[in-house]
Amino acid sequence: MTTKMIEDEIAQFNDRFFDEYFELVDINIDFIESHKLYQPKQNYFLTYDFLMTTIKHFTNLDFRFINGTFEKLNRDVIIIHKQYLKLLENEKNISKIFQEYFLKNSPLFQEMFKGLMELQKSVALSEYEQETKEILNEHYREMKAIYYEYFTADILLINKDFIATLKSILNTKIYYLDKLLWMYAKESEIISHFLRTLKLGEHASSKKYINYRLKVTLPYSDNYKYLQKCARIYK
Amino acid sequence: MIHNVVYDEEDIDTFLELTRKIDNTESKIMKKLLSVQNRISLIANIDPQELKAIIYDLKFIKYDKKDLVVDQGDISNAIYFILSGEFSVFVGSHKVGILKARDTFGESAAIFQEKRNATVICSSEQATLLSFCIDEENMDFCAPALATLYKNLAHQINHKLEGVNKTLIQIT
Repeated sequence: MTTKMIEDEIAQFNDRFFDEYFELVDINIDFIESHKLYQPKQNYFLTYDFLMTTIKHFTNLDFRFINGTFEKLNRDVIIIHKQYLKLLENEKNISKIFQEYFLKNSPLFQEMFKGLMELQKSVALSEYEQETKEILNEHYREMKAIYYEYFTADILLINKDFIATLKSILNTKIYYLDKLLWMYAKESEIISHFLRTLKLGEHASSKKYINYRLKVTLPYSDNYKYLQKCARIYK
Repeated sequence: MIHNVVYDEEDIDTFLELTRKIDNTESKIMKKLLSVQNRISLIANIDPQELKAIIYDLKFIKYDKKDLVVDQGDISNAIYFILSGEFSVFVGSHKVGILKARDTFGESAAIFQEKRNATVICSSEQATLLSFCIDEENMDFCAPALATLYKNLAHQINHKLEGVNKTLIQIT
């Protein structure tokens, strides 16, 4: 067993494990680049929760508000964000992924595991069998430790790359979602009326709405601090 | 299986229309920045094409009296150039200075990525600022711009130190 063989086996596993993410990233990068979408450098990603809450609130006011391109983009952003959260979860569950996905699908480990199980099942082991069992057990543990080291380093790196790429894709799509939100809000009579009552007028925007929310949110609460962070982006 | 959203032609047209609007707004503000570039000592003499590449989040911001611009201890990478009006500078509760049209502030915290060392509040009835950020990731591709920017910054810091020295001499 050489280092190259270990690395190859782990790389093959990662290709399968991240297969859907490769596709998701390819489709989205192609979409953004082929249509020359604006890719903001500010962190609009941070405003995800604010936008989702606002969309929910406006939908409660007028269920017809969310439709057409806006509805599609909203769905798109939610899907990508869920995948982003899954990647974040992966970081905490490397050991579980290794045990439940990698080891169970590795022919080498399956073979070793099978051998060990057969020896376990035997009621009376000869001295030679007992010795073999101990050697096999030790070998299994050692191999597992070596593989785990390579596996952790590799999967964390790939996972991190996908997190950064999805964050960047989301940043662009959230920026457009923000623009569409206010475009569609103005088309709804009920929401426009609601915004007029808040004195946000015809030019309502995330910036103005956040400033309004800050006035009615309990100061120094977590939500207030979050809205303050969002306000800095729109400033 | 991740279910990707499929956009049709109408959706694409909406995206393109929005992008056109964004580009128009961006280029208008960029034109304004280029017209005052040499009055902003920090970015003076930088090649305009390189400047376009390293500058982002350009905005005109209007303030009314007592509006807070930056808060001491805040983390933000915006640099401000005063187009009109006056701003008071506070460290803690002590007023330490006044900034007027054509002054720049916020550059040190932005470039050195440090917390704001003072609070700035609008002190005139109305004021307008041009705010922008510098994209350090693009700096690798714009080495001459980086060199000029840091030279300008050093010049600015030197100028401020000379001012402090003069004040100290007057006091003693």
